[in-house]
Amino acid sequence: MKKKILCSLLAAAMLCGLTGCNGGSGSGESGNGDGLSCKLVFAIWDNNLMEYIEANDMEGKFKEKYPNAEIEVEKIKDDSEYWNSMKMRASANQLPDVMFNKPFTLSRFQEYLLDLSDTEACKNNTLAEGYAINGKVLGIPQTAGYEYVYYWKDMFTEAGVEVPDTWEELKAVSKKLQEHFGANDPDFMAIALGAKDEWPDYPYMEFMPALVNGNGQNWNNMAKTDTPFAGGSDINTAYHRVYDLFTSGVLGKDPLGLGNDQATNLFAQKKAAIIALGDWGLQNIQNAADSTDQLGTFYLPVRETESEPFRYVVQGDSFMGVTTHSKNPELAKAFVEWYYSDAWYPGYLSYISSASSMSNFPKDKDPILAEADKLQPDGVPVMYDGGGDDFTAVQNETAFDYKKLGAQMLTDNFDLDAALAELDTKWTAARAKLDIK
Amino acid sequence: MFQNKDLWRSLGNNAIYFCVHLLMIPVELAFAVLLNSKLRAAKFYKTMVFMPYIINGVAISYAFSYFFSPINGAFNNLLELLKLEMLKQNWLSDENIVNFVLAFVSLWRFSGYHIVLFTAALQSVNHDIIEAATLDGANAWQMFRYIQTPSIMLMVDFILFDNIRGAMQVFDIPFVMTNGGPGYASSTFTLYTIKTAFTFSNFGLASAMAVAIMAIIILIYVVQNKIIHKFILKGD
Repeated sequence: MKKKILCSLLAAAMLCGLTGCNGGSGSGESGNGDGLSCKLVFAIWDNNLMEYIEANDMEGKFKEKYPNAEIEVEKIKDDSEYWNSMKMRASANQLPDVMFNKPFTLSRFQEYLLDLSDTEACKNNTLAEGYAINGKVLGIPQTAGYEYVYYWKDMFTEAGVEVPDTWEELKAVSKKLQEHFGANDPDFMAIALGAKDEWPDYPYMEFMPALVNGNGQNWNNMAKTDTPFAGGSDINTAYHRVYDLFTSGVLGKDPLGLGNDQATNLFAQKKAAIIALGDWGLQNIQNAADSTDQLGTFYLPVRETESEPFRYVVQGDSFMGVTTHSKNPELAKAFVEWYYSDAWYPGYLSYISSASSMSNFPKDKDPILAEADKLQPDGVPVMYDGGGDDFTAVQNETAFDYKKLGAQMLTDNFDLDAALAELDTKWTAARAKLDIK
Repeated sequence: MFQNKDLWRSLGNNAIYFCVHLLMIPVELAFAVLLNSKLRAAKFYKTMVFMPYIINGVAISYAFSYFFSPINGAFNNLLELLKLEMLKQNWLSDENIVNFVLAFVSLWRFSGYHIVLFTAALQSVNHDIIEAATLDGANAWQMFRYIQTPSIMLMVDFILFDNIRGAMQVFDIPFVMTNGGPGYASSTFTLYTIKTAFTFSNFGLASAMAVAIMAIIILIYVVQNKIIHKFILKGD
């Protein structure tokens, strides 16, 4: 008899064990959280987020809504270690329930991420659908990043020029500014560019190929062709436009001799009229300038004519996704909904400097940055994707460094067509070697 | 690796550092002899020449990048002050001169170290020999050529080796001052190796480069040693 009781108890325990961590609503849990229970693992790499989570008792707040749920935040040292760890865990079937992705890792983990397009968080997010893969929203971006062109309004007025609306207008405006101010000041730069550091040319070299035809997936598409740099391609068109601008003398007498710190300081001292930087650049300019009363912004006008749509780059960052390895996908989705709800997201948004990606929680832009939106109310945002695994593999194989290429455009005897043809040759060979279709 | 023209160009740039430093070694030795003589305030000068070596290399490079800046750069302003405007150049972006500018910064930083090492070696030369040579009527040149130089050959050997190693592995100065640019005009072997590893994630090739530079250093050292001992110092 004792044996029978023991067997029955063991069988009951096993049954409980098998069904104990279900995310279904039939578990009979109490509270106002739809009865979802069990533990979720949430992996992050961001130090700011970790500090905010610790200071604001994320688990306690989540428990107010889901009393039977537990959150374990797994902080990984930095993003490179994070991707290494996630790669290994993906193959070991041990991904966390909720993970963050970058735009360029969404394609890498697409097989391991659930579609979140039916969530309220997705519906309220302004960028999520733009990063959908095969119609599936695999992550909800936490923040939005924008690129701006900063300019001095008083210098524009003095030179008699207006904010440019097309690429040709940008060239003409820059030229006029250079002629006007350069006549008295040989050190003047219409456009400040710290080309010695190479990376400051990224607004032109990295984003313009995506903006020419509004293709945020440009890098990924390049990985699918043998000769992406051939005449007529977006990147060929973009780089010829950049080359024309860079070699027209509007970058001053020696942009290759200046780093970004120097270029930004010179712009802040009005030794330059224009500088292209991200939203992060505003603080640097404010720190170096005596006054920013006359500072304005506009989006980089890449279009050739006014008949084309005005496109500007928007990047989503930190895409929160639910993995297929989660044993509690319903609870994980509930966590995503909660994270982007009034209970958590607005507080975190005010803690960080980045812009909101949620339409239901708008964050006012700095008035200087908001001017760009006022100037282009009909602007079309292009969701920029930094390039997936295939692109990165071919890029590494060919040593394609677009930022260095931008700086090389400023050197004597540089032949852009020859450089692009050489890249095409290397690209074809790399794709064959890596067997990328 | 052997077909990579940017890598060969980088290695060629290393050769500029090597040659400039090599040419300066006799001058450094002469300075050491001067500081070792009964010079007034010799200690102060020794401190002054050694100072650049103990300052952080990144800080030096950063300061010199402002010094050679095309706008508000102190060096161009100095030339203007001396009415030598015709000598003003784009010091960090002219492909023909950028490596010599960087080699000059390297020289400014490391010469003092070599001078102090030479001074220390000269101080260890046996005073009896010097006294005997003086009594025999040796002049300053003869003393330098036949007494001091042979006595410090071990240190000369070390400095020659240090020059090869330093020139082949130079990194911080071009990295901070020009980022190896324009293009790869001022890149060095180490700079290119690090870019290959960490920008293009090609760790296999970068490892091969690291081994190759070690082999190159040994090879140059052996050849240089043979030349110096067989032809230049054959009498010793």
